[in-house]
Amino acid sequence: MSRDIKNARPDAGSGTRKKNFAVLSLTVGIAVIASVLAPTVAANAASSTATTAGVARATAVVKAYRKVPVWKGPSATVSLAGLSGKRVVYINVSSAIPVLKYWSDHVVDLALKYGGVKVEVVDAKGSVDEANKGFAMAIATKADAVLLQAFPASLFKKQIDDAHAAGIKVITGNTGVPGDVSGGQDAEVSFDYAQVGRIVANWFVMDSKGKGKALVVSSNDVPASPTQANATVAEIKKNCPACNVIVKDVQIPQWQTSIPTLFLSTINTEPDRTYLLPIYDGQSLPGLGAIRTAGAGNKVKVGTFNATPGIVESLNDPKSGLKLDVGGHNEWWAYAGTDTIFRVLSGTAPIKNYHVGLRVFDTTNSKLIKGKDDGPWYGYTGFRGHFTALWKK
Amino acid sequence: MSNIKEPADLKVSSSASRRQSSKGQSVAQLTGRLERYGVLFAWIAVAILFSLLLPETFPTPSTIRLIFGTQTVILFATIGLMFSLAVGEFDLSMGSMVGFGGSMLVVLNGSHHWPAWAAVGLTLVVSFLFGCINAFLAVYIGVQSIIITLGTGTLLAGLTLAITGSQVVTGMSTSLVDAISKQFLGLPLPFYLALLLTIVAWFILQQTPLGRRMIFVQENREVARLAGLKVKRIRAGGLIATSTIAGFAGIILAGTNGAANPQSGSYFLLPAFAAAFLGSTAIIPGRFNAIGTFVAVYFLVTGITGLQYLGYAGWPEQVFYGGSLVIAVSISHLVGRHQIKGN
Repeated sequence: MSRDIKNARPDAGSGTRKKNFAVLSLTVGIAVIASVLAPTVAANAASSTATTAGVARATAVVKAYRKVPVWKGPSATVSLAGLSGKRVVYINVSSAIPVLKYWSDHVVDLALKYGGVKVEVVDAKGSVDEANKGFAMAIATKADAVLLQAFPASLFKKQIDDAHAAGIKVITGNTGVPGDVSGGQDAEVSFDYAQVGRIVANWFVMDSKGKGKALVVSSNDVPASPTQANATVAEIKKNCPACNVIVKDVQIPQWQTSIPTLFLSTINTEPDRTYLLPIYDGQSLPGLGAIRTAGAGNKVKVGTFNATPGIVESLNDPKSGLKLDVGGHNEWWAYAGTDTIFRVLSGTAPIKNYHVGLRVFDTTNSKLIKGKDDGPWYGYTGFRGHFTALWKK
Repeated sequence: MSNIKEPADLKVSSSASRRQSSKGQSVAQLTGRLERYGVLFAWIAVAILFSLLLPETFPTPSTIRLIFGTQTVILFATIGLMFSLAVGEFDLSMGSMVGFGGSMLVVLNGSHHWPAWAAVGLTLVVSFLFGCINAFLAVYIGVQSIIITLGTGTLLAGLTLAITGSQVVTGMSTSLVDAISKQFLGLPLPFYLALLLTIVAWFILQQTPLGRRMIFVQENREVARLAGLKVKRIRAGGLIATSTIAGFAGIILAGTNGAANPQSGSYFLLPAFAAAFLGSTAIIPGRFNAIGTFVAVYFLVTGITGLQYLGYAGWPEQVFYGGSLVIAVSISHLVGRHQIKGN
């Protein structure tokens, strides 16, 4: 026994050393692994926290824009005295585009009704040359102002200079950034396309829970498109570092032929790129048809802008894949456009951003989409009273 | 001596000349085949190229469905256009007719709640009548078709805006949309209809006396008239067929989208002309023909789809579209000239 104990001691001591060594090795190993993994784990934790925070921010934005829009417009009044009888040449990029016609029709009515200002619409039919003719006509007929709708001001530097030389003020409409007069114009009245881009981005981040892949389809021949597309990408990067977004440009003449194949190509080549975000719902229309025909309505989600009557109804058709259509209040813009005309004609400082009402239409509130008149969908007409209160006789 | 040698020399020379002639014939045959099947070979080459570049995604059933299932409106429009081009007439109102056909269908069926069959029927009748107006003005009044259809096309584009109130129109009956989107063997119904139309067009143009007469009319209207052909009737028929088929293409477009955008038709004009001219360099070079048109349309769609798979959307597609047309037509022209010189 003693021998056993004796004999055992060295063995026992060796075992303890071995154990100690093993424990030490294990501890060091764990420490090494921990030191290697810690930054990664910490980074993952930080990234997870960032994603959670980003998704929360995105959700808050989408929820806010699902609600009825509220007035955030100007409070500075404008005197309409002396405006009656003045003339404005309104150069429309194309009166064949429904929303552009709607805007021009309403501005014509409002300017005459409230200010006695005569607005004459020139349909440029998409042609820069026709728009040049509009400027020439304004100068020849001694108009008081020109409103250039949805053309980039940079294309008309000489015409703007010529108009100014003839004492004619120049307003641009919907070139992308509200209040941006870097093209030499006197005022710019625009939807906040960057904000539209951010709403679309936030809907994507929210819906994908911060881990989606998206395709933004721009149409860079429309002046406001790059502003909106860039804002979407920037917002996604801000609120969802883990998300993946790519941008492609498909211009108006190719919408009918290229969008269907682009949508289905994306579904085939990158099945996990499930969010298709064309800038305009008119651009998405041929793609929605292709999705429907290919039976791919459950594979992708389409998010877009304009809430055009006739297209936005596809929110109620799961086969089309349309899940979001942000709408801009067109009548509200017409009031803002008219207000800008009044301010420019009266020599009052123009308003930089009217914050024209935007609203998210998605599958949660698609029941609001009823009838052809889109005004009631927004649930707000208070802007009419606000604007007319600003217009002092 | 010389008399004895002469036949031997002649023999050698004659045999060499036969060899040369046979070699010349082989080259001519090869060039002829290349010309006939150039676009078809190019289509196959493009498909193989993209399959090699993208082995996982391109050579798949879903790609085949994409290529054959999404561009049927272009095929309809192009085959329709081919009928007027085949008799030497240019119908520039074709794009507007596509837009008008789709819009009229949706307005009748969606807004005025006409039954689907009646809306489709009236749309086709109006398309037919519009073709009659084009034919009357171009053939019987004698204004050049390119001018008159430019005018009628613009007029039609205006009428389309009028009947739609410049709005995207919707509300088509679900049954009609479902019927047009119905799938067979993974491809939508319109593809089979377009294929059927291609076969019918091939049969008419290549297998019937009418097709031969159309060729004579295109080649030389006056000679055809002196030969006793009813030239005016044939020319009118070509324009009427183009308009009616364009109206039908509009119906397919509206049915596929479930709505009609009054702007949409005009965007089909240039692609349809490009495909028709590209098609005229294939299968029966120098003639507008149905199989060549079919091959040309799907060659272009395959190329564009491949580019999109590689991540190139937008301008590369235009470059491919325009470049293919320019190269094919130029090569066809050069080969044709070479053959004439050879003869």
